[in-house]
Amino acid sequence: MKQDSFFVRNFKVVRPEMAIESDDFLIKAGERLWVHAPSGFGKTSFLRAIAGFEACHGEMGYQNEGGAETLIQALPPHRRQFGILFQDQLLLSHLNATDNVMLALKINKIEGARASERVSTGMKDLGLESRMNAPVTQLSGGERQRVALLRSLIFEPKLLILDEPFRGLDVLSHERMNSFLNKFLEDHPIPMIIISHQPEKCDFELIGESKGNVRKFILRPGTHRS
Amino acid sequence: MKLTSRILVLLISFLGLVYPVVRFVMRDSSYQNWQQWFFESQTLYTVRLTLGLTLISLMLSALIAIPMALWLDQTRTLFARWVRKFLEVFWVFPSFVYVFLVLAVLKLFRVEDIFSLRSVVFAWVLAGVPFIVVTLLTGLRDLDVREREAIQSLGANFWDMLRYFFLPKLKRVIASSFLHQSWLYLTSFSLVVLLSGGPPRETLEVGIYTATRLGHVNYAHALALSLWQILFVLIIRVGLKLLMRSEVKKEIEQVGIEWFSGSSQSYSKKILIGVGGLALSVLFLLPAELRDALITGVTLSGWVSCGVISYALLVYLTGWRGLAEAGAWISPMVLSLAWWSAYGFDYSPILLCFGIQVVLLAPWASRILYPLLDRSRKLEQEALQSIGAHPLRSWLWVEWPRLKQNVFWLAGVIFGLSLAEVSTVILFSRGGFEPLSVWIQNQLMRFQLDQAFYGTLLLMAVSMGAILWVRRDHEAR
Repeated sequence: MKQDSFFVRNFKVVRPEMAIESDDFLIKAGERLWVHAPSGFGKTSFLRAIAGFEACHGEMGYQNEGGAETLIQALPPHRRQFGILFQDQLLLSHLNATDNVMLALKINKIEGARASERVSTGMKDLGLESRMNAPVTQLSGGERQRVALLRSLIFEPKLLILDEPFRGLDVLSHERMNSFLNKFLEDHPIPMIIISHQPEKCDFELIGESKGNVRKFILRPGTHRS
Repeated sequence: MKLTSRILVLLISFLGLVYPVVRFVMRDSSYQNWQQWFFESQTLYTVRLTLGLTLISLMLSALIAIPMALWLDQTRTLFARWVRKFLEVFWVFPSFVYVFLVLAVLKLFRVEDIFSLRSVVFAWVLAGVPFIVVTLLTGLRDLDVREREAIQSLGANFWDMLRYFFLPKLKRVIASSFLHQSWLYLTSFSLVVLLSGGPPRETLEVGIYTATRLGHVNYAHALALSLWQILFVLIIRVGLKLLMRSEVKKEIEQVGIEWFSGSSQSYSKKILIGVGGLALSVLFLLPAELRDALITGVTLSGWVSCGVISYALLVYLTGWRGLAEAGAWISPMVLSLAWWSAYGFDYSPILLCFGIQVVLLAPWASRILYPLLDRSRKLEQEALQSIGAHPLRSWLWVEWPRLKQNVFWLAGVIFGLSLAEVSTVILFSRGGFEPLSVWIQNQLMRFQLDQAFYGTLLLMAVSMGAILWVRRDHEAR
């Protein structure tokens, strides 16, 4: 089934000390948008506003193949159907690695043998089969990152947002995550936003530029095309 | 220094806890048939009644408090903010306040049988809800907002959040608040004595008092009840200890700190000076009897609050911090009875009450102060010492500015708790020694409700004034 595109129009976050704006953009299913800007620019605020955790102006939503739009800016975060990999992973410390991933499925009413199979396959693909029952506190940084990535996409969200997904990872973990991500996107082409300081393969870029108190994300074609 | 403090603390612990309790238990050896004595029908009735009332009140409090805490945590309206602030202050109020509230509500709804067990449950729920809500709120505040958002972003609705996030994360805080609350119910004195309607409808705490105070003294019965109570308190404290092990320890300590340093009101100096002036002028207008009671109560509580903090600091120096917690292992009435049996009336009542309250309230001080003292900035102190500062002076420069607000605030809270304390004072109240709390209690027992009401208002004003005074610039910090 062809997935919907994701669009943002007239985006603006207004704060007493500054405002964050963005060019309008539309990411088709399977396309990647790379957001990059200097530290402290407001990339994470931009992500939080899109996810619905911070108030913002403008329109955002999904567009199907026929051009029909579903606006989501008024929906609470849990109804936007996003999969988000947060910078600090934010796994639940009272659950083990498998349970953290399984939680995403339970919440989205995917249970039973199908869910277990999906989790064990994902864990295996990410090289975590020996760490499935390990408490989160005993996982290394790279392992936590992989568990968090799996949690963010296992329930097949409509938009994937990755905030600094490869930060601080060793080469092996980076490779594993990258190939897993590519395979997943091949099987489930959904729009994806990556926030990162590293150059990423992408179809479009949002580059941060400051103009006084206004911080604006400018849209450009991707320089590292996928 | 360490050796001296250890000797002092051991001496205080022996005189304050070990010796009185041993004397108390050994006092009467005439229990030929211990089974008949320990399981006497009247004793078992009191035990069942206490447990029943505790469980019912706990369940009702939980039913109200858990949804309320979640609602207050999620809501940012002005009303919710005020409810939060009100609850933060409400839990420190003395028992008499709940008595008057219960009486007022029951009168309002024209309930016939006011003095009954139902009223006790009502009062306990009123007293329990703020405590549990405040504890849960501090637990909720301690949760990582970003973790909560991460779960939300997976599509979790309110019930999912409750099931997968709030309850698992808070289960230890919930359990510990219930255990604390059941301990408070078990040792509740004034509320039961005033609202239950008298014997035989009495809980363990009141039963001990009646068996030793009213009419003929039945020492064997008092001892049996005390042992039952010690058993229950022991179970609750062991439960709490187990919960406080491992990572949850930090959580509980944090809760303690939050209670005393959390967000609350900032009050202008002018208002406080005005209130202070008004209070002084009211003092001169009070009837002599009430004024004497107030002065006695304030003097005792002032000494107690200094004594508690000094004792807690002394114990900290020894490194045996568990000794500061010892007072929490025994109920106020049992300890008073133990002191009464060990020292009788040979000593000044104010001295005995001071001693008991220092031992009993020291755990409050230890829970607040020790986590703060543990986070001492050793490197900064060493830096000052390297430029010639004496260790004590470097501690004062580095640590005291950080600690002083908490110490003052703690002193205010201990003062308020001591001022409202009845069960540790009532056995020793004689010969003109009648602190305000006991005076109010006596007025209530004589059904002089007007006097008791004014006394309660005065007690509330003084304890709140003390607490607000010491935290007047807390916000600024």
